[in-house]
Amino acid sequence: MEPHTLNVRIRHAQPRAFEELLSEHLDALFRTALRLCAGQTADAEDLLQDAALRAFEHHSQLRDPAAGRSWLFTILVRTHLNRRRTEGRRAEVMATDLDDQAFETALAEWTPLRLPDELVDTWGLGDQLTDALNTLPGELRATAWLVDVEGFTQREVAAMHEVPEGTVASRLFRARRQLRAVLEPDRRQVAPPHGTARRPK
Amino acid sequence: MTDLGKPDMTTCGEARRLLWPDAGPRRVSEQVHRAQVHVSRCPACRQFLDDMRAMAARIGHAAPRIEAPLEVRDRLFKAVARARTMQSDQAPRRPWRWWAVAGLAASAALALAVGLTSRRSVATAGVHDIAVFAQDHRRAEKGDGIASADSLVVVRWLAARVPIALQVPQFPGATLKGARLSDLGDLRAAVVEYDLGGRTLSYYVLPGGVPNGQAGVRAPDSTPPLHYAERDGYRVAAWQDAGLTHALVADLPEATLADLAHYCMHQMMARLPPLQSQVPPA
Repeated sequence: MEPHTLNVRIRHAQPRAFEELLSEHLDALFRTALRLCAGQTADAEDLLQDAALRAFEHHSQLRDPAAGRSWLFTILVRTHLNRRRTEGRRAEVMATDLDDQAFETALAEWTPLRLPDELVDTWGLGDQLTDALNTLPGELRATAWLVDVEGFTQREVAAMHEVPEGTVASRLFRARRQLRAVLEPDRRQVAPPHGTARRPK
Repeated sequence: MTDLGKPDMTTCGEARRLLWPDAGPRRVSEQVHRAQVHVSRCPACRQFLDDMRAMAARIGHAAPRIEAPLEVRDRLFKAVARARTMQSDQAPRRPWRWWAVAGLAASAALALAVGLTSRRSVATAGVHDIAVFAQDHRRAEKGDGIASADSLVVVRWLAARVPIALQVPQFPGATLKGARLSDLGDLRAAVVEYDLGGRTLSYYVLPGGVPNGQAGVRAPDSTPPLHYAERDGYRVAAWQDAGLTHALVADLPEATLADLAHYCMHQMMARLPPLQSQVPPA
């Protein structure tokens, strides 16, 4: 369905328009919920349902035809943040961000990446990347996922988290700095071993 | 990293902070312009920007694209359907006004006069009259859809098209023919079709409640009450469960249809009762 048609129907609160929007983005929302919850499927499903019901309550507020996807993800991310704040993790969130000076120093210390020319060993790479993502602090993990996998811009992710764009840049850089160990073959060899059995993540 | 000499006073760290991530089209400030000049002269900064682009591509490529499991999809849309049902039940009621009372009385008189007080015409959030299932069944037997006897193929086809992850029930003596979609007013229904002794049996699922103008017939067990209708020789047995309306339609006796409906309900609850009635030959 064309986004314009869908949005006109959402605006007029026609019955199945919200469900269609949700259905269109459900896989991506589920994957993101899974990452936000560090791979815990039950938590991710709980988060997704909570976010979907909030979105349903407020879907008449969605005005911009092109904003449906970003709007759903914003609700998902904020629902997750609200849960974390309820759990008393606010101090941890604030402690992980860098100021401009510290960020510039970290940027300047970057050493050139040594990526293989071709994508080899892709069978194990996805699992290793997932494991590495799950070990990142929550804010870094969410930022890397939303930008690098789901394709949101720095500005969109900043709006979702209600933080300055510079904070998103700093989180993204620090996430990538930790994830490079998975992507560089030389470093991957010394990475901690993972379980041999593939498991749903 | 070394900073380049005059007139470039921008450090590598500052240039990278100002130029990465790419913020898209924007007005270039003096500071950003200096950073761009710096990068044009600094191989290490160009390498840094290339590395960041490469990492984004590799992470995006390597990340597993997991799909939401059907049961997650099912639970989620049932929760939304329940919320929709509750929302329509709790629609705000305005205080009575004398003119509203007068208008209502006039409308009621008019409705009585033209015989529109059919017990099946009560408006609800879902379909207005369950007999529309019979109409649709008769009209759309050869509509667009998928022809397959494989329930997994049918489930996947429907899951990609309707926001309901439904189960495809099995009925004794019935062969799965396929599925289609049907627009019933503002609602889109998933329709699974079977061949049952030469007849077509259609199983409809759509969001919303069964019209409440007619009291349903409750079975002795805990299954939801059944609502019946008939049109053009086709009978309908409909029921509501978890915010969804389910309906079976075929040119079968009411008792047989009720039996199949209960079989379907129990199957959803993983309890299969024996069929009480025989399906008559077509």
